[in-house]
Amino acid sequence: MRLRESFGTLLLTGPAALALVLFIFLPVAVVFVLSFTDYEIGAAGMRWVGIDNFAELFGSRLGRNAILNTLTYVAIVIPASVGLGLLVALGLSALARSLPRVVAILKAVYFLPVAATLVAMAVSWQMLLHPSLGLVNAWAGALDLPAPLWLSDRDLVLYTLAAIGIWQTVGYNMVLFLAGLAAIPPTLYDAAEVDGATGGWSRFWLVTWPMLGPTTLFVLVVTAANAFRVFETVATLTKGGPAFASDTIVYALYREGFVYFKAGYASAITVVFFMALLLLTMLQVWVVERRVHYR
Amino acid sequence: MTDILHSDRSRPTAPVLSLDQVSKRFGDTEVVRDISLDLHAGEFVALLGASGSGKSTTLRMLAGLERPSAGRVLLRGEDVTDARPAARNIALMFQSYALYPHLTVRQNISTPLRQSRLGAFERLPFAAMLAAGTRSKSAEIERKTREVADMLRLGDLLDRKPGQLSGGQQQRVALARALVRDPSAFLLDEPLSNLDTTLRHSTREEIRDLHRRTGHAFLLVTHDQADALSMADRIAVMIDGRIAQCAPATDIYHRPASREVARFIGAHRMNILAPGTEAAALHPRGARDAIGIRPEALAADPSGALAATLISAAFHGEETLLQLRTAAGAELIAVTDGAVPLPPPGTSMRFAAPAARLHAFDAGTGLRVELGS
Repeated sequence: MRLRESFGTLLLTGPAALALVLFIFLPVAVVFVLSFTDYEIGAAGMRWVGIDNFAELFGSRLGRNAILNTLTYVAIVIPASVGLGLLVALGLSALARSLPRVVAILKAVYFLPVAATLVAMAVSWQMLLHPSLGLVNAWAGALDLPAPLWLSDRDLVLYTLAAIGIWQTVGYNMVLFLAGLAAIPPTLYDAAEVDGATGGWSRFWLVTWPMLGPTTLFVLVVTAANAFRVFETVATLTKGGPAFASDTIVYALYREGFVYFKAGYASAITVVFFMALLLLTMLQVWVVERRVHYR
Repeated sequence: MTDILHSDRSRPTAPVLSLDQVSKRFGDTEVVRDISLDLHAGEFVALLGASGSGKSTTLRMLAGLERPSAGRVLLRGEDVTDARPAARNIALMFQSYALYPHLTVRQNISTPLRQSRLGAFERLPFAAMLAAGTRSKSAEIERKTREVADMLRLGDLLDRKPGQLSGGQQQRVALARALVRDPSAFLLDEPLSNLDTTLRHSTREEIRDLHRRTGHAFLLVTHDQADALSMADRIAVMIDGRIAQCAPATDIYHRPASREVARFIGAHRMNILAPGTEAAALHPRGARDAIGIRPEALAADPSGALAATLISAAFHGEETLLQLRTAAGAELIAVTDGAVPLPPPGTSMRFAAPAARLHAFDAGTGLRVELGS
């Protein structure tokens, strides 16, 4: 009886577990091993090189540049898209009573970038930002503003990409924050009103912000994971250029692995990237346990 | 310093809080229709009504959370219809307690004081370390918080979060938060509905006791007549957005102002006999008016004036509930002593009711008609 039960359980969990091992754990293990070799895709043999690949990533100007660019991008995109998402959600939920139709339209507008394919959107951005033919610079010219080279100025390109990244994630964060706002019991606002928190500011700090804690944390995790993985816009708009000014970790990993076929080095980048995200996630989970769920 | 335990109740009895011909409509539905209600200092009034009768809306208008569509709200004679809740200094205990889940019990209780006495910057976590004025204010807030917490036996729970408390403890935190700022009136919205039966009884006593000790004017909103009858000095019965009767509990029970009130109050629904020969047999007025008899006033009596057939009897221990039908087809209920033996169902019986316990209601308006005794 017990044996049959175990067999049944194994039958249910087995295939998924096997797939997980085959397609996730095994490749990760292989990548870990490869990261200590000089393997190149298609090469006949490989050599054990120890931590040379990691030294290359952190030691070379190019490796450090990719890391620094990614950190800069993340440092802009996370706070801006979370903050804007929250602001838009607060505004829309405040308007929802008086102008329900306008709010429905605005929600769709904000969410459109999330639903659309980013590569296709990137192409539209490329046209919008074209130095001479693009709409952005046409308007800038009409207003007598300088017309910068959005995607080919080395000092500007990373910020342009960050702006596109923000534009792309604000809608998603807004939807999450709207759901979080809808889940706040209205009696808490009544209680705050009775307790004397009459201004919008004190209501926000007494009720809204703390009650949005779990939502904010989830939004932060999702936004961070997406921001660190920035790839599509880089690949379609700049290819990491000009002169590696918009080179990011994932794009570098793609270039080293799939353009130069340096599988060993690409694996090392992957391992570092994996560790960084793991660390970040663990940090966030630790914060959740301590601060966000009010027990 | 005002003492929260002994506010002055010897003042002349101008109402602390009143509703003056207040109506409230949401869209096309009129939820509250032209009601007037006075709450005097030190008084305990219950607003009793079925769900949907408009009692919660009335409470929210008193608290300032809803604006009346018509009429005025008066606080010590002053028009506060447009004043916000905090300006009225009216405490409100919510049915769901509405505690801030992220704050400790201490912070929950002190929130009203912190909001009213400290500026936005003084409420920041470390402000008390920097400014002496803030420090002394904070110390005073802490002292009051302790005092109220001790009164409600919450002294040991001050550093817990609401999620770590039992339902009864959460309820006491909600009471404490409402009481801490020495309110001009204390409104309670269904305070007992989330508690189990045993806790309900002890909490009723506790709330009554709290009312005696603080001397504040209390207004209790409830759908449970047992709560209203056992706690309140006066009961305002709300039916369909109107106050059908506002009187002491004994009056509401013994002299209901209308047929609706009579049917609403009492453990068992009052029997109403339509005007006719059967009603007239009980009292001469029964020829023109409907006659009401409470089931507990209807007693089996071989020489009684009312004849009825026993349909069924339900034994409830100390009492037995009899279902009866009269020759004219009226369904009646009678309550008898559970120890008395009963004839089998289908038997014809006779019943009598003391004249003093009969009620008469106008057949058209349903209003009470006094039976001269």
